[in-house]
Amino acid sequence: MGTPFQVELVTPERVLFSGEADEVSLRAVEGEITFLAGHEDYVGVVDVTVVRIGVVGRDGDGGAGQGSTELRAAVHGGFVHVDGEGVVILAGVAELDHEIDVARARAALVAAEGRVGDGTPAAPEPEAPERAAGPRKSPVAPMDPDPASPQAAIRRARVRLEAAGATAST
Amino acid sequence: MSSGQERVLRRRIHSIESTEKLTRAMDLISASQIVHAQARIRASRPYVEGIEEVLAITASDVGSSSPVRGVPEDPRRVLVVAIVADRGLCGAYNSSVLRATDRLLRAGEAEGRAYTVVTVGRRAQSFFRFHGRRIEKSFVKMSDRPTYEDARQVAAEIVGPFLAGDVDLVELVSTRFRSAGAQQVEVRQLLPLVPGGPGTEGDGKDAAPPPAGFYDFEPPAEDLLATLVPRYAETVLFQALLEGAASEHTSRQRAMSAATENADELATTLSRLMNRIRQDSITTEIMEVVGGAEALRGAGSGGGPEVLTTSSSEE
Repeated sequence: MGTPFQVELVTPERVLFSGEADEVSLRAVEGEITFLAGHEDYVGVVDVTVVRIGVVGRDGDGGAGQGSTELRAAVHGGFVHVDGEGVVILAGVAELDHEIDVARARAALVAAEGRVGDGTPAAPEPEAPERAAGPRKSPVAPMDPDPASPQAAIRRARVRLEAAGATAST
Repeated sequence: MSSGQERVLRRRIHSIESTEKLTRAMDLISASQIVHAQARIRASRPYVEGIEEVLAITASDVGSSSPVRGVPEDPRRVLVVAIVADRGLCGAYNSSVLRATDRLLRAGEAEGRAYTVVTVGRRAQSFFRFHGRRIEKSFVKMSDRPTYEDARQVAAEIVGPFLAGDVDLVELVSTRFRSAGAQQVEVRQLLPLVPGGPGTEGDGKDAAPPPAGFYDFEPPAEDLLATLVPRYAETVLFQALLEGAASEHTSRQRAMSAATENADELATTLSRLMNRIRQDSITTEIMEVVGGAEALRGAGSGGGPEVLTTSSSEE
């Protein structure tokens, strides 16, 4: 177990996680990256990705004090800021593993793949930032007024499923 | 005649009382909404502060050369975002923002600026339509309980034109929620990023951002800043929407509690008046009956005075 440091996962609506961890890994736009204690100061852009946080001493399931429990979160783009105080992940939209609606993510995946198959163009908003945060309430794609291409929808759904530890098929 | 007046009063009191029930209910609802809205402002703060910090670090590395920062010297094309409510009955909340916007537009137009107006809240639509102004884009149904997604939609509308160079300046007119007792209309520059606001080289109030160069940026700071601009605009708008909602509920609560008090007072005054009129009319009626009877008796027989004494003692 590494030296613990402070980690925060923050969205505009609430703080998803705040506590001690000994490892954080995620995919930044430039590639996979893992932060351990004492990482140099860093500011980066986070891709649509699964963030894995090695939570230290989470009370409850016995592991307190030794080793760490992995907490996964689906993060739909954001920023990561590392300094002497710890790691802060700022995300427009993010969900913790146990909050993810697996059935809905699967449905979204199927729907988005269907759209790619049809060659149907994405919903009609041209200047969607490519790592657009998904809509908060209804990630189910077809009715979605949210821009994002079907490819982006597929990525979001995959990340959700991965974070939830589920597979794409039912 | 007087009984007619009484009926009119009774109807009025009845209507005032039912209005009072409504305003009291709205007062209670707003009061609970205020608590909720304040909690949401608090919940958003860590994110807002985090983004501002990242922005400050990145901007100080980029320096002042970036086109997305600074105060334009002579903006020709300006985009104004005004945030108000969908509904009225909230005191001066809507009108103070709208009037401030109108003043801003008039002053700017006198200097030859061209304005594009984007609004949030249904109340803004009718105001600008009345003043014969075109609204570029209007968002409704988000002022009550704004979500981050709402802010994202509004931001998409303004960041696009700004980055494309179609507008030189984006200003935001909204109500700041300082505390439950103090809200204030404020005009702010949203884009380009204000040097002196978040993203300064250290003349901000909070401790100067750590010197850049110690930071690793990925992607390079310039690109990172470009990615940050839309996110920052979303964040500021989200904050403005949240504070707007809290201010709206506060104003409504205040207006409704004043209305309730007023209705209560009015109902009391009117029922006193009504009771007096009713009593008066009863008295008059009795007088009329007595007077009539007396007159009849006086005309019929000579034994008048005796009867008169009896009847007046009865009364």
